[in-house]
Amino acid sequence: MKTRDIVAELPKGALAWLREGPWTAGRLAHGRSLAEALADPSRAAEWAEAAPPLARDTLALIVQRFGPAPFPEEKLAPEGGRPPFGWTGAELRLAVQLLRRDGIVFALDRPWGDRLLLVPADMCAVWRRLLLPLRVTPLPEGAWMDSCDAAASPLSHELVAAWSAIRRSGLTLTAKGAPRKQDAAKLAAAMRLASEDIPPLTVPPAWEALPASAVLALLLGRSIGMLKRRGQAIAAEPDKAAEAWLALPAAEAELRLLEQAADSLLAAGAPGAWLAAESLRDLAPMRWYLAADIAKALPTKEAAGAAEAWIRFLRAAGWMETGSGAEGAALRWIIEPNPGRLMASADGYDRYELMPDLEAIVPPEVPPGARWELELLARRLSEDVVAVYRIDAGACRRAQADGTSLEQARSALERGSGAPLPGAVDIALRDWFHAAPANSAGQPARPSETPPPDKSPLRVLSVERPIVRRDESHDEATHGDFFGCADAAARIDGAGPARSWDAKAPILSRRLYPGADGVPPGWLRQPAAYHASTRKEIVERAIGWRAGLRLSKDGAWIDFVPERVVPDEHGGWRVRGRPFVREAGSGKPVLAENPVDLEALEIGTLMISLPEAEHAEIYRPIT
Amino acid sequence: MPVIEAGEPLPLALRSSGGLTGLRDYQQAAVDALLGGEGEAARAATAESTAPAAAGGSGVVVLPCGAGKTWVGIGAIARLGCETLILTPNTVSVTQWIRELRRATTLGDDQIGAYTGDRKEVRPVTVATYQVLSSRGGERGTNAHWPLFQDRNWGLIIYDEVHLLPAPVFRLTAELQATRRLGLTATLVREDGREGDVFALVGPKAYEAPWKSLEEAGWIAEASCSEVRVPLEPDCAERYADAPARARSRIAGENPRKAEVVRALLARHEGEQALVIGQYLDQLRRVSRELGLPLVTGDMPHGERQALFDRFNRGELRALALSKVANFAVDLPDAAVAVQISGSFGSRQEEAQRLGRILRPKADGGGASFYSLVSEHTDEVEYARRRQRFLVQQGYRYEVRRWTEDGSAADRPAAESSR
Repeated sequence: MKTRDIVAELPKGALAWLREGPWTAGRLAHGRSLAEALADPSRAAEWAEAAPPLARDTLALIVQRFGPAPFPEEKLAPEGGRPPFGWTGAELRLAVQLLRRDGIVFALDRPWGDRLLLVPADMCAVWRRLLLPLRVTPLPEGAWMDSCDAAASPLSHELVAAWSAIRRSGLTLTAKGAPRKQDAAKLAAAMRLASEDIPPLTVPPAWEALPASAVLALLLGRSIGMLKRRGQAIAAEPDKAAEAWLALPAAEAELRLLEQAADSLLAAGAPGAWLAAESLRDLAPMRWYLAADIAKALPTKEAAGAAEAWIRFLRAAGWMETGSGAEGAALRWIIEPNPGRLMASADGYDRYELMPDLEAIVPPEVPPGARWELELLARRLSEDVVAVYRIDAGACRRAQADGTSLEQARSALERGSGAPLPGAVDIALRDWFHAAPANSAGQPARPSETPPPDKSPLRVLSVERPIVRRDESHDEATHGDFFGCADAAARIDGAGPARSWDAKAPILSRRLYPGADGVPPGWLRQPAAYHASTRKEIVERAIGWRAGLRLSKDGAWIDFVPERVVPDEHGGWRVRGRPFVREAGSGKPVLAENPVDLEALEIGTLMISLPEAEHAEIYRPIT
Repeated sequence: MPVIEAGEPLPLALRSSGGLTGLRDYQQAAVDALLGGEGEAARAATAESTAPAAAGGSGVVVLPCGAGKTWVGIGAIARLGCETLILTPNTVSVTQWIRELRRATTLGDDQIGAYTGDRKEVRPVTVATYQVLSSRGGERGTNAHWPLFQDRNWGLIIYDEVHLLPAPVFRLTAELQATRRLGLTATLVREDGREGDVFALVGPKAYEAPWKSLEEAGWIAEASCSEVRVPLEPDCAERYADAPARARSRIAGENPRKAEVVRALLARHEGEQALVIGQYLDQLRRVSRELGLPLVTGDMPHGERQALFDRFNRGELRALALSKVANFAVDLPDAAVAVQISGSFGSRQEEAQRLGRILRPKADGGGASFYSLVSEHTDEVEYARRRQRFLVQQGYRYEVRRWTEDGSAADRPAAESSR
């Protein structure tokens, strides 16, 4: 789910304390909405720079472990008090509250009692870039690779052609709501991607036997907003978001498609794959990197393991190239994968050339919108780095039957080519849009009347630079409608229906720890000597809160994270846990690699270290 | 690299007197591209030793109609100085090659032979038709003529109009492995999409000169191209509408109103020599009768055909009607107007070949005019669009005009812009 969608669902109570958060209040001036403020990458960058290390490390841990997938808080808790994370469980718990206060993490209450946390999907990628950047050195420029293996053209070209085929003839669905096998096979046969190059797709059972490339075209068509369900068929009817995508320059459109593909293909619950996919986007385009270096640099083993399958997909999608050199297997991006590095398109290269022989030479920089319009009027003859189309009588007549006028066709071609039409093209269009052979009286048929402009697929696409909004397509009803079964939405979404957001304000005091107000204050204030049974109670309380202990042993002070109390053979007890020291500056606990046991009798004075008491003042932005 | 045999040496030279100036620059460039520095070295080698000559020297040369591809072939023969087999589509072409060889080189009559249905002369330079090489009739259905060619030590095989090269002919001549091959054509396009086979069978494209470049340099005439859309009469339109698809092209092609258009165009080009070219013999006979034009067809005896061509070339005939023989090498250098009244479906090569009939530079420096008559609102419009594609790619632009009901405004364009 994205920030905007979450904010739209939050109850008023939650909105109130979010608006007042120290990292938010100052950004709501000048009519800016809460969602805009929370989704602002510059806010995220400032937060990452100035936030306390505890909160930053916790957020990095969440992004690394779970990505944008919702997760039960209990799955996070065990990370506390262990290397490499280091911070105690109690500190981790406080950090989650801080992240909620700052509108970075949101909490969902489920009806059956469990609670889920999540980082909005749109911001998860931003946080990953800030907190877990992939640091890999590229090979020198000009490094030579053998056996380079790259698709000649990127995925958007394949998809525009596939969606155009659906626009031409629709796609009938069976009674079970899946495309017919022969139609799906035809769609797949026309696509370059092989099923084995596509990660497993999450679809309803009726769709599972269909070729993966056809399903991918349909899933991405729905995600982008190009395809929608119309009764027992799928139709190609771009919505506003799709029109915005079509209007983007080629490089940006490809990047957005990459993001949609990651959203669609990297299923909730597979953060290793998500992390790998996102991390790879830090690599600079057109620079070779050794695969072994990337695997070492990825933040987790799961990500390193998942990277290979994703890279295979990226290569098949025409977004990455792989090769082998003197130092081993290597790869490089052949599109720009990072929105922050996108450059404006070079003028003039984003137009196709329309020839007098009715062929259109389409270079790779031509945006998808121009191809989409061209596919309505022309037949694709070849697809390589440069595609070749031919304006086609059959296509034009079909376009006319579907409501496109001669003027609209002419405008579309002039728009796409950036030049007046060659005479031969103009004549051909006039011939085809005035259609009709001679009737029996030897007279030409009357030209068709111009249909209402808004019925034509060639109404002008938006020329503004819009934000690609996904509101419509993430609507649950649309989800369910597209696949023909309501519960598909839950399977695909991950969060599922029946959710209510936690409206309770974050707790940044001791009340976060159950019973903290009921224990003797001295347990929390300063180390003291206690009876053995009290010492055990204090230790067990610390274990319950996952908090650290500050204790003296043999005259020296030790910070210690207790994990469990273990009875000893003499009827006493000992506590197993990890001693730690705090890193200068950050205060992050550096824990012993392996747990040790402390005998009860070894423990001198002790207290429970609850984080709120120690760090409250530094959990605010520096203003 | 395979060893190419030099072939039996044949001393000859190009004549440079009697109005002949040798090869034009682009023709020389074509020979050089094909043979490189070979030729002189090869002759020296074969003269002095039995060692084989350097390899290489096979390929295709693409030049517009009227640009003198024959001269490229003759230039290659002169450079290599070896026995040569020339294969052409028909006997008219055979006659033209022999005429040019006699005129342009120092070869004697006893060194040049024609191998056709009528004549069987195997000589150091032999010009044969594709048909005679692919005909069967020998033992067990083999080619009866083949041994005559196999026994000769050819150094070069020239395939004239190589785009027409039938595969069986190539398979046969491929047995002459160590021989250089030169393919000549103006239009390396085939409607079956097998242009690439020519490269595989003969060799890569060694040289191509764009039509418009040679036009600008004055080596071929400047040509204007027009498509005239002729309406069908009501009864004809009705027959067209009612006919099955495969019969429609003939009805459209034989549109009777085309005759009046031909008459008007010939009148418009009074004083210029013209060709009227068509696909359908009935139509051509009708036009020939109505307009009093001599008709040349493929089944006419060669001598009779040549006689009409000669009269046309001498200026005794102002116009000729031609059937598909006009698709091939027909030497009518002063023809300045061609009116195509019907054609074979979407054949780009045929369209280009027909334009090629009028592209020889004119003595008065004037241009040429090509008209393609197309029945309006019929499939002929689409076929025409396809036919014109090669020429459009070469830079030619077709002015599309509509023949009006009263025939009085043939200049009125069908659309605001031209193709």
